Amino acid sequence: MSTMSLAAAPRRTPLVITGVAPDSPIRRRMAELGLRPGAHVHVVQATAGGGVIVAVSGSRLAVDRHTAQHVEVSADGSAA
Amino acid sequence: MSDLPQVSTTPAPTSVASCHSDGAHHTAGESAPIIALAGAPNVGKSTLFNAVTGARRTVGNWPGTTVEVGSGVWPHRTGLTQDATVLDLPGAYSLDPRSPDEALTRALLVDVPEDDRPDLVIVAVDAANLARSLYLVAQLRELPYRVLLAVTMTDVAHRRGVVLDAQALQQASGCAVAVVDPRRRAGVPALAASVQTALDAPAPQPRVTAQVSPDDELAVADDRFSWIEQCVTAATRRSGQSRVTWSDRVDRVVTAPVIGPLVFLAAMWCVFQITTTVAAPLQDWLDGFFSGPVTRWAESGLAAVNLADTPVGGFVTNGLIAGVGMLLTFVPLMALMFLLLAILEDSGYMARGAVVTDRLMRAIGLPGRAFLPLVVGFGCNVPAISATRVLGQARQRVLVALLVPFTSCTARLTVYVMLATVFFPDHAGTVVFAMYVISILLVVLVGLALRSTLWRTMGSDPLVLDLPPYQRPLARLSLSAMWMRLKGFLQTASGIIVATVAVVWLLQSVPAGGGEPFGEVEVENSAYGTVAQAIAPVFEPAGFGEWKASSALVVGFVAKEAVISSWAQTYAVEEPEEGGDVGALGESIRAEFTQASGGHPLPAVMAFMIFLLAYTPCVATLAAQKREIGMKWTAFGIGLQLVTAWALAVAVFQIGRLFW
Repeated sequence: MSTMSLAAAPRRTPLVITGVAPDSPIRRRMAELGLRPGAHVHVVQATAGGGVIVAVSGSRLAVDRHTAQHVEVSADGSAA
Repeated sequence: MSDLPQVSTTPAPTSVASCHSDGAHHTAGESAPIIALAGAPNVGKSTLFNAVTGARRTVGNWPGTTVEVGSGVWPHRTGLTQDATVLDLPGAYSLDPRSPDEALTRALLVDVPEDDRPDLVIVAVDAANLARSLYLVAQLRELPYRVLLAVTMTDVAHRRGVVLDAQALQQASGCAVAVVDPRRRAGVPALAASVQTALDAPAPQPRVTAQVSPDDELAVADDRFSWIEQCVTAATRRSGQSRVTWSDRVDRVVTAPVIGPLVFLAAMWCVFQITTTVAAPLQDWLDGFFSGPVTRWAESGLAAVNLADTPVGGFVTNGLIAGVGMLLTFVPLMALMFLLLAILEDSGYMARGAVVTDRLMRAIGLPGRAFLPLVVGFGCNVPAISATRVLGQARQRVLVALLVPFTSCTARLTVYVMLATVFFPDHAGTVVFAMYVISILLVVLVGLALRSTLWRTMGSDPLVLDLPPYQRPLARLSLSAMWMRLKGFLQTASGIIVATVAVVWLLQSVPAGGGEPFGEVEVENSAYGTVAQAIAPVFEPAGFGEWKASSALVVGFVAKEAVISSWAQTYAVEEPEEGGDVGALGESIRAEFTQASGGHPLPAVMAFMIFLLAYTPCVATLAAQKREIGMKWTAFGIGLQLVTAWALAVAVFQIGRLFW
């Protein structure tokens, strides 16, 4: 299954996180907020400034472009 | 308090802003059980604290509202067998000390000796974001704590199609569970009953964790996440995975490229208009009320006891009443500002504003949220300093509070207009506009300079921001937040403002030499005039080293509104009507600048205006700064402003006089 960055993912499509760049300084914080490998997410929309709003376990997170580029996702097969 | 000395009296070691005045520091006595209230930011923790204690603490829909530990008394009449002490801990997602708030929470729950630990920890848990709220619970369950989950936001969860089964959560987590709605003060009796039951029972055994090395951070975290996963799966049902919520629909507009920034600018424009246009007539009225009727009443009262023309009488009318009057003119302005802040925070819009401005502000090295205080600063610096509270981190608050004084407030505008009309009659508009451009440049450049020196470690933190669902601000919450902040401002600012006004009056009344009686001395011969003359040579390299100019700047330190009237007083001419002909005063000032600059009045007056823009705005700003960032940083700010202002003024004059 092909992977892509969260920044480039299509909107309103079920996705699953496959990896978060390990050097990301706020990797743990993102995990606490729900952005961790295996989490089911979808991109709600692109924001002003190039970031995205991600829906994860019921809540909405704004993620800036640079950080979103370091989150790897693939299409969520289980949500079909 | 003796069993918890390091908690109840000590503010957060990391917090710069001290809020002892919020009335939330009470304990229930030595034998009372101690209940700690913990939870992630934004789950309604402080609101719950207020609901159970009745004490009011500033609450807001913004991460990091609680910066220090407040304590209050949970009265027994709500269903406990005796009063309990409640500690309101700062918001924390975990016990890993990555932010100052989390470090404090850890210090109070983990690092304290076992005997000093709270008897019970209530964790406020957001039903709409259950997984995120439970990491802290997973960690607490590894310790021998009685843990009770107070589930909030079930209404929001319901709207998002999440149904929570409290019974199942209780079984899966091993913690007592109570559903509350602190915003509407519902569910408190049930919570009290659960608290009492938990307190009566022995502390439960810690959770059994997977057999992994405690040093293997990732494995430990994975174990916790899988425990969380179990709890969430057991306790929640979803009715529709990816529903588009009402919040999403609003966000589609307010965070969208192009439209989002426009909406944000419109919101900022409203804030700016309300804090200037709406507040101004109220301020004028209060000003007139104090300088008119109140002063007259005081004078006739003083005359009745034969004190009217004595130093005491002068002190009362020109020192005390003028000072209190100045303080009170800020009240409507600050009340409006605090109310707007409360509404923006409670509604959830502030987080969206941060998203929209993040990229632009990041380009100049500031967090997106800094936009609001800086915009407000162009109206008045005093509420702008208070608006720095929207910033999550203490370091960012200090940085922005130091930059706000460089935003050119409307009080400075009156001086620009007067000087520009006198010295640049054909280009007055352009000159005034240039002052605003310079003001923006100063904010950006000083900001960059501070960041590349003092704040070098303040990395451009990545933005991963929780967007709380929109909610209608509740009038009661907004008004009580406004009142608490206003009270705090008055408590801190009153002393500084009244004292400074009184001291300036005193200096102006004390004759420096002999001959003239107290209170009837010419300004030039007063102690004040002597001070101004002593300062004057400092401004010689800037082209306005003359005591009348420096005297106006000293008065301007108190309030920029007073600069023109002080000039008028010094030259003993009529104060010009606003926007009217500056006539005689203009002539005198032109003559003075021509003489002081050795025939280069234009660069000298430009240097003067730049100095006026960049140095300390007024004592009220200093009072607000002292309240928000403490005395040390306020003093640093004064130095920074004076050095910047002087260096720029000298540069402008020295370069300018080569051309004009």
